[in-house]
Amino acid sequence: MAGGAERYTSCASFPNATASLDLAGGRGYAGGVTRDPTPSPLTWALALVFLALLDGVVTRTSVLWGPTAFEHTRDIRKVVFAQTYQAARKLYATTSASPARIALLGNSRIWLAARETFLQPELARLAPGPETSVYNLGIFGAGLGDMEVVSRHLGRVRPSLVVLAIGSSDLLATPSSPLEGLPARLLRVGWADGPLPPRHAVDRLDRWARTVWPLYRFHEFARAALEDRVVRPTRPETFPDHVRSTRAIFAYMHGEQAAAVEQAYRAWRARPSLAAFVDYLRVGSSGHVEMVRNRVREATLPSLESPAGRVLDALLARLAANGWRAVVLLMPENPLLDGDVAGEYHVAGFSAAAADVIRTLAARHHFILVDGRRWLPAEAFLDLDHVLPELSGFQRPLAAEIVRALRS
Amino acid sequence: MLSAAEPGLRLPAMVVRALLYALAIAALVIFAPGAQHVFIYQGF
Repeated sequence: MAGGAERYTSCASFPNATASLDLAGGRGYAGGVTRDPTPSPLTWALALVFLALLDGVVTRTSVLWGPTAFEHTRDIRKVVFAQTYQAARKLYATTSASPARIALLGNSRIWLAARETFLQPELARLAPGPETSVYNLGIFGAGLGDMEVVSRHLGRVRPSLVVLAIGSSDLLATPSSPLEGLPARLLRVGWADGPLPPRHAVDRLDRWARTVWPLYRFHEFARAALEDRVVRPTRPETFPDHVRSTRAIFAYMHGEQAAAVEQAYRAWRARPSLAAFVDYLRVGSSGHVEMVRNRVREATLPSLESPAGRVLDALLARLAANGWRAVVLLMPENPLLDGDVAGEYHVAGFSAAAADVIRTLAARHHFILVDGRRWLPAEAFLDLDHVLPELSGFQRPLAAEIVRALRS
Repeated sequence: MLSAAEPGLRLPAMVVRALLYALAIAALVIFAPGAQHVFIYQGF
């Protein structure tokens, strides 16, 4: 069929017409010439070609993946989005010639404890030779469902080893410890439903669109990156490459409140007890204390048939199906919780029950389980869940386990 | 004044129009509502 251009009324037919060059093809007054708004199929085909080019220009270049300020936000309301973006960049925009690529899946526990800048030197010390590339894909607040969604992208880095770093509380599926959240919504791809089916049909359509169309998959990140380049947030500050003192980490986390937090931390070190530790936490991290208490109130003992058990099973099945070697790491637990006889901050027996579920599932898929729950003393902990970045020394036993797994 | 109907301008007009369509679709996708950027993490 003739396209819109062919159906235009020519100037020759209307010698008095004063039409300007019509690019948009809209029907309207243009010097007395009324145009047909219907673009030709060729125009649409060309538009699709341009769209594919634009897609590539955005999603395969520094337009999307270049340094941004928003990814270094210290605004706790935005940090999950920022870290999901960083994980996506590591998966989609990092190339490594290293023969050993280690992908770390987890949440804030591993994000803080095994920063690339802490872990890679330890790996180099234990296994001299070609550099090992570490991809820390941890995201604050990520549940097992989020990790399962991140694992759908792991083929991008062709990992030599996947370390799934989980804590016993990750087997909860409660408001205080949800199975999935923002990372799963931002990174969901795949044709088939995962272990946590979409709540609405539109979510499935969204996942399919993200699967086939990179620009749509990353449209939230693209928007943030473009906004970032126009209006840079003030005072971005990257997480330190190395942490030399508690004062440094408190300064990063608590800003002006750091001195008070440091003082409280010193007080608990002088009188080591669970009560003193909670007093220290209440100075700068009262939200964490409340979250832990809520988690205890909501907890039910985990099982293989629970939603968390099914998600973990699906995650491990994907790792196995892709032929990736994997280590399931039970993250360190704060020994101070042994003194929580009132059960205010932990549920007696929960950790052991969770470990049993995780051990059974790891064995089902022939993966190594490393139980790191007792790796570290209380003074290595930042709070009830997290170890002190670098200062804890967590990177040393982790590096040893990685080297052992790579050589096995 | 020029007209897109001029034989010599049909192809450039179609190309520019297609480019504008592509830009418009890309802008709609990028700035369409998406997952909430704000997600309050309570871990600390």
